Amino acid sequence: MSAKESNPDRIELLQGTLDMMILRTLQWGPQHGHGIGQAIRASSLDALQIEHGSLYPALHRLRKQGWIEAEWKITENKQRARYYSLTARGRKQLSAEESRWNRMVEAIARVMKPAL
Amino acid sequence: MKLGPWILRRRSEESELDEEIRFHLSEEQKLHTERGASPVDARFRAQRDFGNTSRVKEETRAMWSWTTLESVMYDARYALRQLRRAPGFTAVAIATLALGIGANTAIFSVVDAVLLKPLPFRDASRLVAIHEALPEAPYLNASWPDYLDWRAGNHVFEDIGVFQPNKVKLRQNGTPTMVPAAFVSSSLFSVLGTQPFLGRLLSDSDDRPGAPAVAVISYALWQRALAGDPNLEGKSVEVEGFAVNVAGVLGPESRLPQVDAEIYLPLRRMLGGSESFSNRANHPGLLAFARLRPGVSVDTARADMNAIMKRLAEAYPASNKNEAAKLSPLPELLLGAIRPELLMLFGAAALVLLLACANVAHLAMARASSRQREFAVRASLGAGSGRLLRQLLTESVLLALAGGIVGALWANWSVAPLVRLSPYRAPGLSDAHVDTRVLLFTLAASLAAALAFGCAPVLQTRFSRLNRALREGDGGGAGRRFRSALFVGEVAIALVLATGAGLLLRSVFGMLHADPGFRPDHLISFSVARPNSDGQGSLRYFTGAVDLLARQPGVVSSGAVMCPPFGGTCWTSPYWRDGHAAGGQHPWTALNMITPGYFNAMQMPLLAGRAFTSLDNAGSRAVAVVNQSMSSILGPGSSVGKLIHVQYSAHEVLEVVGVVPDVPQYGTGVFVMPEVYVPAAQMPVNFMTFVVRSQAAPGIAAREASAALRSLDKEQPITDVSAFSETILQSAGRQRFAATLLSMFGFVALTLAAVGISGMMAYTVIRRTRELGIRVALGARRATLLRMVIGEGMTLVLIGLVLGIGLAWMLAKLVSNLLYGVKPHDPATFAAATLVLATCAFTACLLPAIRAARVDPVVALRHD
Repeated sequence: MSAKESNPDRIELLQGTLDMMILRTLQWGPQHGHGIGQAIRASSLDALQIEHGSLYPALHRLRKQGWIEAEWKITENKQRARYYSLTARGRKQLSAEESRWNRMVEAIARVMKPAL
Repeated sequence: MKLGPWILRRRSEESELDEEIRFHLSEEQKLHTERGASPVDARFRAQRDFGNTSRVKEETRAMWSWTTLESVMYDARYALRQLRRAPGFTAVAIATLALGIGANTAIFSVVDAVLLKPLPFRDASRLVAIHEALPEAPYLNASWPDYLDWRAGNHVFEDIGVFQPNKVKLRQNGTPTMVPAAFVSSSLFSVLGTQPFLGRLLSDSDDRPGAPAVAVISYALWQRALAGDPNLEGKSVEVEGFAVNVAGVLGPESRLPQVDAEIYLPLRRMLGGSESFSNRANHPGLLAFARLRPGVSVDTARADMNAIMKRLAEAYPASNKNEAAKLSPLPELLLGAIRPELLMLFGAAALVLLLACANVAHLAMARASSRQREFAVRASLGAGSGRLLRQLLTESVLLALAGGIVGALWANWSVAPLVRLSPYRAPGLSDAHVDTRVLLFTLAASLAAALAFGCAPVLQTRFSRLNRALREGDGGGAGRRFRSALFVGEVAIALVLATGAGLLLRSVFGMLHADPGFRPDHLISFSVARPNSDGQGSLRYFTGAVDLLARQPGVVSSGAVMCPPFGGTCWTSPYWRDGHAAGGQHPWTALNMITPGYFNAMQMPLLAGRAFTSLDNAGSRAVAVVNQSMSSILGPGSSVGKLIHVQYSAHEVLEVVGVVPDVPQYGTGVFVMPEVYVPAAQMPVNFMTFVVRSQAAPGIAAREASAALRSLDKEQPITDVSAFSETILQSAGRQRFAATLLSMFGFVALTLAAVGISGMMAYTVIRRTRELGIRVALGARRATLLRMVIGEGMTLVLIGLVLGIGLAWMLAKLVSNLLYGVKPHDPATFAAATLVLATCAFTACLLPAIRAARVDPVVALRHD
């Protein structure tokens, strides 16, 4: 809430894209919730400042779908954290979402910047 | 789902999520600190970027499927708190619901036992009862030769079995007693699908003449006579003085259709030699039951039996001309008469529950409108309207469940008296009790009730939300209209029940005060059978016994009869008037044997001619006394002196010497057959019922009479001791059962309706205090206010009454089968019920109206 007000350049997430980005982030290996948030923020060059809290319902949703699984592990700083990783089904889902996303971006681009 | 592991898993999910969020926040905080923020600032930023922690948790939890249950439990806890805070409302609501649900549960346990549980016969839907009929005698038991031909000639039945209900003298613990028996064909048990509990059932070889005497006994008799000894080897019971081996024992649930028996004996061995079995025209009380082959319909079976009967009519015209075989499916035969009555009572109970729901709905609505504030606060704190609705429904369900529990307890207590009061002899009735099935029904009824009254405040809330803009002081016009409609319905239902109760009460009163043709008070009866003595021996015994009884202290008069009033007809026969040719078909009459003192003991007045005397004996002219029905059939002019032929009487022709009133043979209000009485001295029988008019109380009179008979023959058991006043009461049993229940329901309905109207009027007056105050201040007279409030209430009552009269008019035909001496649309009963209800309603309106008239304008204007 407050975050949105403080930075007018931030982009509201499209429905479902957060899930896709989480899957994408986990492609590189297991990560805990905070790490996932950091990664998304970093790779979007801070443009996508997601509200951190919304990660957790999304993580649960993905886990229920069976696309990711969770495991408690010890971090480098000797702290307990829940690490999420992609399942086989999650990988398949990610590639499906990616191609769908690409098609959509192309379609939107054609509408917004028609070829001259 | 088991609750234990579920809660544990739920707990760990919860704490894992907490830990995960804590970890996230601390990581984020660390990040900010590393970038140079102060610890306080870092924590603030971490929290800010995270968003609303509890909402995140809420959203995550919503992903776990069991949160619905959790929020239901939360709702339930909240509802319990709310209900505890309004103990008066809660108590009244629970009590009201318990009345309605309890009444339904009690009736349902009877309905379930009688109508819904399977009959105690294997595949009962394939069983049919067969009886015979002649144009003049619509119901005749099977004749033995006909039965043998059916069995041999049909193509539709697996088999046919017959039995004759009877009584035998059985020695139990040294005392001879009469026990109900059935003389059964060896095929009967297999037809009914009866299995032995111990030993074996009867076989064809047991039925052969000269075979060793064997019996199958009931579970109860096995417990009594053999002390439940499972070893039947060499066990016997003494029947009519002979030792009979016990071949097998039936299970406690096994029984015959329509008849209770304790001992089952082979039919042909008992009666096979007698004339009544070889004579095709005779119908010796045999009840026939057949099992349809798989896939054969009752109609096909009827056609097949018709073909057989046609062949028999051609082969034996003397006995079988025009004779038909009638098939009735067994479930229909056993339950056909009971079903509509029980369903009617069940329906009445449902109406009571509906009324109870309406009353609780009134209460709940009154309460809901005073809780508007609470709802508003909860709504502004973020509760969705769905959530509030669920909250209200949860409260309703809790109330209804509590009402259901109290109701089930109450029903559990009342089933036994209900069954005792019930006149039905349905197979499952004695086993009726509140069991799991019944409790499931109670649960369903409670939930239905919760839905019914729980929706009322919700609807009202909807309406009043619409009306909030109008800011009227009075819950809104739509809400009020809804309450008014409910109230009109209550009055209508109460009137329907009151009318039904009124019709039945009048029937019971009519039946108990109908003139039975004799004086039933101080009159007892008991039966004696002398199966082993011949005609003359029996006659000597019965004549001697009547004289002996007449000499007992307190006894005014005594007599004996073969078949007493209310006992059915033991003997029927074709008859014709002298001069009308014999042969061909004739109408049937009841034939009864009596001792000379019988009419005097019964105080049946002679309408013409004379009664029998001791001079009408074997040596004198054969005489008869006829009942009034027969007398009017015999034609105009005095019947005395006319001659009639009664085929199965001992004499060719009988001279009518007297006429007596009709007495009910089957019961009050049931068709009376023409009846011919003949002197027992001219046609002796070995089974008679004594009637004794005594000044002593019935119980004492019966004890003394049986002691006197023992002095005559100490081996002679007597049965069926009863007082006629009691018999008449029992003969109105169906009506009394229905009347009792409907009166109770009617009373409850009346009370609920009165409480309902009183409550609603009081509530309306309180809500309108301000308006009333203004009216008083503007100079309205108190009498005007009184009239106004009463007028408003009574307008609704009037609408309800009109509706109720219409409903009762339509529903009255449901009880028409039970009515005696009163028409279903009896105007007096309708008027009385309407008047009672109107009076109650008026009284209920009066108190709130008086309160309205006493409104103090100063106080009223400060109100609100």
